[in-house]
Amino acid sequence: MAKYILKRLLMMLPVLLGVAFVVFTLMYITPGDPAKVILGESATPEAIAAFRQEMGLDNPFLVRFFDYVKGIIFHFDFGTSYQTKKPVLGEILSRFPDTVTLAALSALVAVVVGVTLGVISAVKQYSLFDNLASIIGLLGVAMPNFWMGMMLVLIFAVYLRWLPASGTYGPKYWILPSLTLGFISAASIMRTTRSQMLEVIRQDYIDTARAKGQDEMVIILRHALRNAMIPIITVIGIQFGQMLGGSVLVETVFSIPGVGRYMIDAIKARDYPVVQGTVLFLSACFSFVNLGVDILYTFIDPKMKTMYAKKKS
Amino acid sequence: MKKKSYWMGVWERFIKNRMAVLGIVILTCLILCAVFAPYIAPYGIDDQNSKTRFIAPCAEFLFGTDNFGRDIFSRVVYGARISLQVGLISVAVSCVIGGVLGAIAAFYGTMADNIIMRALDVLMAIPGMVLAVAIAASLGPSLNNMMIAIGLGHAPGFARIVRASVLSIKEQEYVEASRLIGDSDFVIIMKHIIPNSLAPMIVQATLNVGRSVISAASLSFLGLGIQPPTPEWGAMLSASRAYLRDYWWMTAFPGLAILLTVFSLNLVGDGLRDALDPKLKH
Amino acid sequence: MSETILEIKNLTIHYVVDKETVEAVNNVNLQINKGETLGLVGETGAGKTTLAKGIMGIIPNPPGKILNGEIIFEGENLLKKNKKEMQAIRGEKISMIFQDPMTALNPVMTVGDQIAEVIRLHEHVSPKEATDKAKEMLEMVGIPGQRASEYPHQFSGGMKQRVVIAIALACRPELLIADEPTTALDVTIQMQVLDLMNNLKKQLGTSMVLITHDFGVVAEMCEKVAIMYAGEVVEYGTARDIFNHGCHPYTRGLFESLPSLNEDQPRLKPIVGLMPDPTQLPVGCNFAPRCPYCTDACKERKSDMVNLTETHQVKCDYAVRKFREETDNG
Repeated sequence: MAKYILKRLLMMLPVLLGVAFVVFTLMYITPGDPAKVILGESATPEAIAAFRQEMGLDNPFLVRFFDYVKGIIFHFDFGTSYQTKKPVLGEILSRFPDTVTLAALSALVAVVVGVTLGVISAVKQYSLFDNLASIIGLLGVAMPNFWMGMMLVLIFAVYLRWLPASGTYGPKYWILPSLTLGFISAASIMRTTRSQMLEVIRQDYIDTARAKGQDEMVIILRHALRNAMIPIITVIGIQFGQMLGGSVLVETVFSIPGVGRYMIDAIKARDYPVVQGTVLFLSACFSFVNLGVDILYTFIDPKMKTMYAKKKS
Repeated sequence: MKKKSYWMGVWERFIKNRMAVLGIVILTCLILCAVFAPYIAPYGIDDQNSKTRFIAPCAEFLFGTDNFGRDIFSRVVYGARISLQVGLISVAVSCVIGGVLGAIAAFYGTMADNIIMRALDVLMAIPGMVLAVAIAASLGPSLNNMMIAIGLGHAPGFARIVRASVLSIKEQEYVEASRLIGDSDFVIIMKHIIPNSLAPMIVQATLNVGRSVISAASLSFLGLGIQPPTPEWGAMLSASRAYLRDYWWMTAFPGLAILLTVFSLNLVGDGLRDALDPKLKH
Repeated sequence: MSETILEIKNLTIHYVVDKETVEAVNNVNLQINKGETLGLVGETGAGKTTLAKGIMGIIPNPPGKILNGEIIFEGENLLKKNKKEMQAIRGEKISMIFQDPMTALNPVMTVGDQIAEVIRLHEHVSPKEATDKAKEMLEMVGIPGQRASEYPHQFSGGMKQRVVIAIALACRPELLIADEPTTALDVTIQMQVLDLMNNLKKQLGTSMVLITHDFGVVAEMCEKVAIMYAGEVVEYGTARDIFNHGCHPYTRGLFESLPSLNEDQPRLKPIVGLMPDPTQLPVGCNFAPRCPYCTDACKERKSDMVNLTETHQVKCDYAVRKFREETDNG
């Protein structure tokens, strides 16, 4: 198992290197001179030249890229923000807890709500509950998350005054953002759970369990859900990527000073090292989540489990 | 003859599905709105009027007016043009790029497959919205760049689907049989691969139009897409943020328009999927 | 006189799908004595599996519905029992072996856990004891006990069916329902599995309903045979009755479609036509459209079940006449 994780971590390196190359290229081809943006239009040519020199902006593309990668690998240096002149990594890490909190709470909402509603819908197929849940699910996947966030603010903060609209000053402040980000993923997870459960419930081994005299509730949870979980986990992993991306919007709507909003602010300020750093950082997070999902498979899917057991011997 | 009856069967199954029919009806209405926007919208998209600012929905202004006194209903109707256009064109972009890459990867040996799939791995490692934001930031905010950004962002998904379906079709015995009677690659591609991989492509494309509409609205909301005063729904929502506390209609209606559009596209996509692959239906 | 363990009276089970009614089981009467094996023979779609699930009380509702009849097991009507009472009976007193061992086992549970599950449900034992008993059961069906910690995908088809048998017999049930237990297996494995079932059945004194479409299996295993066609039992008797004096045209047809080594047959004689659409059964005899002896009367009304001898019943007027002629002459 440890060997497998190590192997997967090593496989992640070229992918992240590729991501670094993609963002670096994107920032490189962006029109406009960052020196002018940072120093202002009124800066003297000498000042601009000095700035370009200092930031290494005059070097050829590949040299700059390799310097960038070298910095990351040997010094954990993701560059320096044009604006604050501070290391990008430190800036990102100081904003990371907010993004992690948002993503984790949203994932919790998404998985709990999505799986529970999906299972009930499948068990009570064609019931009123199933139809309602299906419609809510359809609406959920059709909604832009930032709009849903705004509507929730309108209802719960502006009219009902139950919850705060923005900021991160306490547990109450997280309710609306995590509902916003979690709900849309919950809708996807619910749809998958329902269809997978319907598929699994028709399998012969469910009848075998019934023939044993097992309780229907236990059959659903122990026999059906555990089998349905394998594809559901795939969707949860994909949804986590969606949530990391969606956090960019939700952090903007709820004024949460997380990594996503930092990225948008940096784009507007043309602070390219920060944009590169945040994209790379969010992608790395996504890769780690995917690794986690794959490790989870080996616990749930015995075919994977026995495969690794065999490899070990 | 045989082909015709297949598509007839698909159509019959599709039309039997009430939700899919609902979707197609809504979608048709939206398309009509987009096409006949000048006849439907009572006002222009940028008719600023300081006397009619912030009017709540009423008979004269169905969806109310915004901070510049512009009729929101008219802007939402014109917005359908932009959203549907962005949705269709960006899906066409991802269809072509993704389809070609996926087909090449599946059809031409391990080398091409490896290179393409590793490149896609890299793109897939970036969360979709983050990738779209990064591309849009790099290209600069405009309608065309936004469509490219969204199209590129969704292309890897297409490539994977096409590759998977081509790979599985390639292994089918009827392709083997076709090869044995001496059909060329071209004939096999035209006769077997394309018709049989069409179904997953159509479904993916329909569902992706909806996703693209949301992505477009998101980019515009972040200020990285279409710029005001163009009546793009996401841009309208972005502008409405400052007035959320007092003038709910500025936020509610453009969002509902997005919701309705994506909802109908998803219904049609789901209906198509069930109709194209009756085995998947319970 | 042996004791009756299961008696089915006038059982009718329908499925309602999209406003169409599938008459899966119609007015079936059967009776099994203790220790006996009843062979239930018929084509795919004749309602055999529905009947089996009906006895187990696991017909999915909706769409399935038991409209009429009684299932009397050890003197009590199972259809009158509530959910909890049925759960106590299933697996403990009546258990079932499903057709396809490839899909009958839960892929994410070890086989040991799957056997132990039924033991823990019906016997008050600790988890440890249940696991030990599960291993014993595995040994009993000829699988080494230490393989209990393996998953179904690590077993071959024949081995899986042995595991299914171990699950079914773990609580030593009074009645075992085996739904085509060997159809999905290789021919070479079929005999092994049948022998195993026969031995265990004798060892444990279990009665059995064996669903099959293979007369070879019936000859090997069964004391009594019921022939089912389109949801009805058309002929019913001891194995001897059916094999030597089977007289329903459908029964005859089944025998004639079998290859024989003794006689020199140039061609097999299949039964022409297909089974009727179970949503639109004919008014008259269900078999009439395919029957070579069909008369106008057959198309208008169904024949009643007639007792030919004490043990032998048939549902066909022509067959009754024919049988009486033959016995009178012989």
